[in-house]
Amino acid sequence: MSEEQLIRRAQQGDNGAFEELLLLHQKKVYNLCLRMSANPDDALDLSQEAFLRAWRSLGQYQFEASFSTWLFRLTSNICIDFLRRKKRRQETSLTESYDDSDEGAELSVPDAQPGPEQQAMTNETKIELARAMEQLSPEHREILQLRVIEDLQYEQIADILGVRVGTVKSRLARARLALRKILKTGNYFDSASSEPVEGEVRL
Amino acid sequence: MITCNEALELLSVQLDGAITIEEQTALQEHLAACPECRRIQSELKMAEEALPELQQEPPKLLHDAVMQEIRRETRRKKERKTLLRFVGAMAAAAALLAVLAGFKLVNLPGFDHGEAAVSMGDSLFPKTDSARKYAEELAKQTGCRVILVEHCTPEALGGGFAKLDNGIYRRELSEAELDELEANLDSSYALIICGAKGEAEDSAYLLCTD
Repeated sequence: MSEEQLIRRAQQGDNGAFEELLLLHQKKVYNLCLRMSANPDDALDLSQEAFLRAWRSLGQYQFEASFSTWLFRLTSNICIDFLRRKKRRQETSLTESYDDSDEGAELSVPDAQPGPEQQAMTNETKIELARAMEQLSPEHREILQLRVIEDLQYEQIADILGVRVGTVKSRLARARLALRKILKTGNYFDSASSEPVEGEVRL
Repeated sequence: MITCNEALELLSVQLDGAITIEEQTALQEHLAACPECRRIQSELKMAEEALPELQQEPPKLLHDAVMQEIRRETRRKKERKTLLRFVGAMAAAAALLAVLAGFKLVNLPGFDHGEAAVSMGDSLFPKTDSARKYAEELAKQTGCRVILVEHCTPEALGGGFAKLDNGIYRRELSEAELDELEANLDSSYALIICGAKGEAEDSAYLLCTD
């Protein structure tokens, strides 16, 4: 059965069809929530909320965008709302503004302890990478998730975020450079480049 | 020759495989002369290749919790629909009763003097209505005028009635007699009149139910 058929069935009330859709898309929804919240417990709550909202508002999906675009957009909005509410509740100087563009600088929490997301991983470089990601703004974490990890095209990302393609490009560049800078500060590349490398550094 | 800032932007586009030939040429030219940007390029590439490793499998609880909630809400929706349908039917029946009571065809407290109320479980058309039907039928068959007096004993109307099987009392009179009776009846009595008034000598029927 095609995805379109599944969706139409689900819109008619076939919960088994919706379950199929859930299974097809849960990894991407969960990981977007994980990347943006940087917390597996929050990610679980947020993904649940995303799927329930999708189920309740399925009648509003008119096939104008791809289903994954629609689902991503819905998920992104839920995560943004969550982060804004969280920011308002926070009293410390450690703020995660969705629109914040300077990162790494304000971190007043010592980074000795690995964060919740990192504890789920074993590989040390993965832990370092996850820790660096957590220091990025949610905006940058989100766009890296969509472009680099989910491998979406510029146009689809622009659709999901509700911005122009030009904005996607420039935000991506800033996100990558910000990540690189944080990794560099943590000597991520030193340990990597001291390992024997097959082949050469290509220009 | 492009600046480092411009080159850094192009490095990002290059990672997406979206760089144009012109941009590629400009970038290569810059990199050949700029070791710092070359280093940044290789570092960006390393980070880029490592990022997908952050992807994780969703916990099983996600699927289970979502489907459980969906089933719960589906059940609730069904229950609500059934309840609404029942309430709707009850409301329609209640509305009908109110209309009938207004026409004094059905006995309801507040509409008439002190008879037992019709409960929802009862037939919506108690014997008064079958009396009415009988009155209409009698008028049709005999061509006479028929007056049905509700909630009135035969004694109150002077006696002389025959009791029929359906709980209705019947008495044949002349038209003139019926006229006079009607004129003298207490106005609080509910009357159902069927058939046309005939000549004074014509027959007429008086029915009552108690």
